[in-house]
Amino acid sequence: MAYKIVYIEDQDASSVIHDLSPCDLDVAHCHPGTFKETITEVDSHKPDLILMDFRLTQGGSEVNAPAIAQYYRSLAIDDSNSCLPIVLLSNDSKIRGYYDDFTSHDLFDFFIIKEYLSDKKEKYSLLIKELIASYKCISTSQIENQDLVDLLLIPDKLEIDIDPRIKETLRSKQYQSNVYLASSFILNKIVKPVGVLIGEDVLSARLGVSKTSNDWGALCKTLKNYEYTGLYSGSYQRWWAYGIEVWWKEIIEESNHLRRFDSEGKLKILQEKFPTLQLQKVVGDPTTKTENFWTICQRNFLPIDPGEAFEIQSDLTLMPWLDTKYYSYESIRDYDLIKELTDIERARYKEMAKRS
Amino acid sequence: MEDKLVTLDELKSQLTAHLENNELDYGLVLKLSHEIAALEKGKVRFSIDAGVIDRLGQELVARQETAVSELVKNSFDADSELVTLTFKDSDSIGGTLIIDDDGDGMTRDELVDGFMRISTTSKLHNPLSRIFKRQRAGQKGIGRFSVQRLGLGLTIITQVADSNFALSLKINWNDYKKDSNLLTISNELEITEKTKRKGTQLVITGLRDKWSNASIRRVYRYVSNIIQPFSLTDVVTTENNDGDDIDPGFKALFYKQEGNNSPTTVADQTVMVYDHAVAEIQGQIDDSGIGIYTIDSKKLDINEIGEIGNDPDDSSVPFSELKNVRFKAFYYIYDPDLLPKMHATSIRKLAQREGGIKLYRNGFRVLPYAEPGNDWLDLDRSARRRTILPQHANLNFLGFVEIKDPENLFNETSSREGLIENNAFMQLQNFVHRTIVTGVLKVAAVRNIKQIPSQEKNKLGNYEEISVRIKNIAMTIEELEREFEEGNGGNKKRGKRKTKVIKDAVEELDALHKSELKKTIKERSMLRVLSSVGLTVTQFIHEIKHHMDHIKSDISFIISELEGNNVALERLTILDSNFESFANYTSYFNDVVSQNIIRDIRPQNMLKIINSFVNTMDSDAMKSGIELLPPKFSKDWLYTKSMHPSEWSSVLFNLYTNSKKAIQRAKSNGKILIECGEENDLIFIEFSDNGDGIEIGAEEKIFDEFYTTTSVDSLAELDQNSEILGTGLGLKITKDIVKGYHGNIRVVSAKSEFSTCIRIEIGKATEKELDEHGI
Repeated sequence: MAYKIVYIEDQDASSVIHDLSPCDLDVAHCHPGTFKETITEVDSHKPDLILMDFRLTQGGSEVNAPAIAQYYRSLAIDDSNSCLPIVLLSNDSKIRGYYDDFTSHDLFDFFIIKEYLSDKKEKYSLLIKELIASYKCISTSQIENQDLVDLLLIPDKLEIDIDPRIKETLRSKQYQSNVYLASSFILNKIVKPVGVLIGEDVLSARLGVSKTSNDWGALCKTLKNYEYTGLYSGSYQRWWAYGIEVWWKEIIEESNHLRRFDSEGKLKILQEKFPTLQLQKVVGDPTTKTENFWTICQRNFLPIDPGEAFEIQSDLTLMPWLDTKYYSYESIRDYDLIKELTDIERARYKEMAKRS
Repeated sequence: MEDKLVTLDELKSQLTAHLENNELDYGLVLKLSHEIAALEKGKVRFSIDAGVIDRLGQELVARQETAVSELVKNSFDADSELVTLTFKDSDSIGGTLIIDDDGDGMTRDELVDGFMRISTTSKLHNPLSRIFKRQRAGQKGIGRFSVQRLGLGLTIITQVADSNFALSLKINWNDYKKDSNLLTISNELEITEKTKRKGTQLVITGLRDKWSNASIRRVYRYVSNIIQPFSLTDVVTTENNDGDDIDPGFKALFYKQEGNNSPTTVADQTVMVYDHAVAEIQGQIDDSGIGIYTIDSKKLDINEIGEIGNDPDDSSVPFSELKNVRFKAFYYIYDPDLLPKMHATSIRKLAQREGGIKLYRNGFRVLPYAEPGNDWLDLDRSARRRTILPQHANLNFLGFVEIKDPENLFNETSSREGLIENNAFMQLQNFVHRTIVTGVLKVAAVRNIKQIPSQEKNKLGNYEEISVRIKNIAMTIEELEREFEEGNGGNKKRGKRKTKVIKDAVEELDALHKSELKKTIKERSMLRVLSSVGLTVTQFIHEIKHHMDHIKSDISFIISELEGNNVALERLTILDSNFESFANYTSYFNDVVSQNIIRDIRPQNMLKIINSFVNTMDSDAMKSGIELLPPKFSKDWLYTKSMHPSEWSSVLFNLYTNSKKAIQRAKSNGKILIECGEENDLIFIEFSDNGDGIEIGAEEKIFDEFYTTTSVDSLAELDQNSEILGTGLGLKITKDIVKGYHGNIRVVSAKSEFSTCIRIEIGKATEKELDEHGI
């Protein structure tokens, strides 16, 4: 059965509806009127998910998106069954500023820039579907008093290495009773950021192997046991970061820590282990000098060595199990990102740039 | 199970046999006991792999400078007064670093339970240091791993005050191999002779990194927040300082030594801070009450001694209530000629925290004088008032005043916040203030810098010599009254003359104001027209955004549906690419428009501005057959003074459309190149094209209003498809923007393959501006 989505939009909505409908989503357009009218219409569709534009007042609505989202969020406090995923869709990339603000007010699950929707409709419709399914999954789990940690499907071998605070959070009362909180915690604090889980780019950096290698896929297959299969793994391909280290030790049989090698060294070890695989070395942007890659630049997503790259000032929401974030020299230079660095890093960058 | 029992028995007998030996191998005892304990049936224990040291050291402490700064902080935490760091043969890997402090040192127990115990909690339990109650700076337990991060070997020689021997501990980090038990690796501990009363010396051998002067200085800067510009030992000359627990301050000296040469100082207070002062201003008052001051400057070759009295106009009048006062101030001018950029930032940061003239009475610092925000010598206010022009705010000084006050002429207020403002205190303020300002004016005179607003230049371009009357900043009520009476002095005639002069000046100003107003009104009406056009564009861009997303989605849908119909598909692909470049073009304006949400101005990074301009305009240029060459930058650090980003967008776009028109007229294979760099503290942009050029004599005119290259007599002649026509306002606006920031714009001679080059120069961002904007 196709999921039912209500799309609140004060202007023409047909293209978005046409984009999403072929992806097995049943989208109903709701033209916002007074607050009450809007709510009544949304409710009449009995949606699985609400999609809305940010600015609604130009087309006759009384209020903008946050007020409506707020209404549905507070409704869920009394009845966790009525908790609906809410996705923001806007054509104004500057909304991101407001959006970041509103996440702290627990309003939206996700934010899509309209421009990207038709290009990446498969990706986004998948995410929308997964969001709905995850909400249902979390809700069931909560009603049946099951452990939300189980939804992460942590491999047995890694069970004890996972930061206990992740489990504590998911087992706390608040998270056991609020679907939105639990979902956004898993999505935004575990799955999406680099930390306990890592994506393909970081994996490539850590292994020193380029994603474009002919046998990249085959190499990833050897890591199958440590691929993340829990909630949101449909939309986000992730691996357990610690699992990679276990794999390095047990499968590759290399006792020295992965971090001690540069790409050249790692590639050599991997090729000795898998002589038939065609693998190429991964390279950073032109300004990188060392190859002890461990993570990626937050701007161009190319591999970087944390010893060389520049640390980004973390905000208060950075969870202890997440990795520090970095920018490469090139990214800071070309996108004027110096303001985002920590004090000491800013001074270091400045010195380097001035000497250039 | 059987096997293990046998083994257990075997182990037991081995241990018993060994224990009966006269000479014990403690390592073996430990190993056997561990193995025996590991076989206990009902219980298990953690063991630690020696590789953990490596993980915690090399992998936890990423950067070499951080590692050393942690060790300096440890000395600070141990109540050390002075720490010396000597980098020996550190230009290549494998050198030696010696860190020597006069802190508390460690007893055997402290060494074993503290240093040798991983994850000790002592710093967590004792956030303040023992003697001087310093806020401990080191991170919890990272120190020893920093040592491992830095070099292969470590020798610690440590001694405490009340012991008559020193301890020497040798650690070879290579012993800590993976897959061995951390607990069984032993390190040599020897008892040796004391080399000093107390303190710890770390000798790190086999350094893993090279240490250049620059990286050593960087360490100094990392730890500079625990180092004070003046410590009490600099200040106190009396011996009546009996409290042992007053923090005498903390100093760090950094040396570098190659081979057997004598060590050279790389960084210490003198190298990093004092040497950069423009001048040193000192003053003192002895028993007679007459102030003597000296102004010394190596940089400007000043060496002056003078007298200063209680009366601003008569230096022979003694300070009646002041005795035994001396002060010293280092004067900094934040000007690239006098203070290298590299150091300006760190000195400015230091001065923000520690700037101003501190006050010490009988060896004790008196607060709140020279705390951030305190302006007890009226320096900040005087600098703001601008009756004296050279820099002389608190930020420009690091200094102290010392008063010896056995007779208690100065009294602390009952709240213990500062001194009672009696006559003695006022005289102190006047003395220090006037001496400092005298020094500032002297420096300005030597530098040929304008000292007061009314000062004029003479024919040789030098400022005329003047004598400035420096007023007292603190006056008694009687003095104030006298001053007031003198100012309003009885003479009626003089009063009238003064009024006339003022009246004339006001009238002149009024006339000037009126003519200025006319111009302003004219310009404002033009701006009104332009801004309404701008608003319409903004509205338009915002509105079409919505439609564009839809059109894009529709096109991609039709493309997927038209699979197989080649003719239609081909046409549609063209439509798609046309639309793509249209979208690109408008996206640039969209960015500009949304930048307008940001109202404040900030230093602009030219790399970002120009790169993003070139990237968005690239497809438009290509469509017009113009090659937008990759921009060239002379370096990676190009910040203009604070501007609004959309102003640059407008400047670049205007230059671009002009070049485009010129290229179309010339019918050439168009090329545009943007170059950017820094010269004489100005950021320049050179915008070159190979269009039809500018006719000789018109180089200046092109920046005038309504100058266009093609004249149109009537509206009917306007050809809608022709892009060649302009309103003639583009360059005028560009010029206005540039001039608005006191910049220059002009036509310069073009390089070989180009015909026109327009050069814009705008002041680069000052360190202060960058600082304020967190850059």
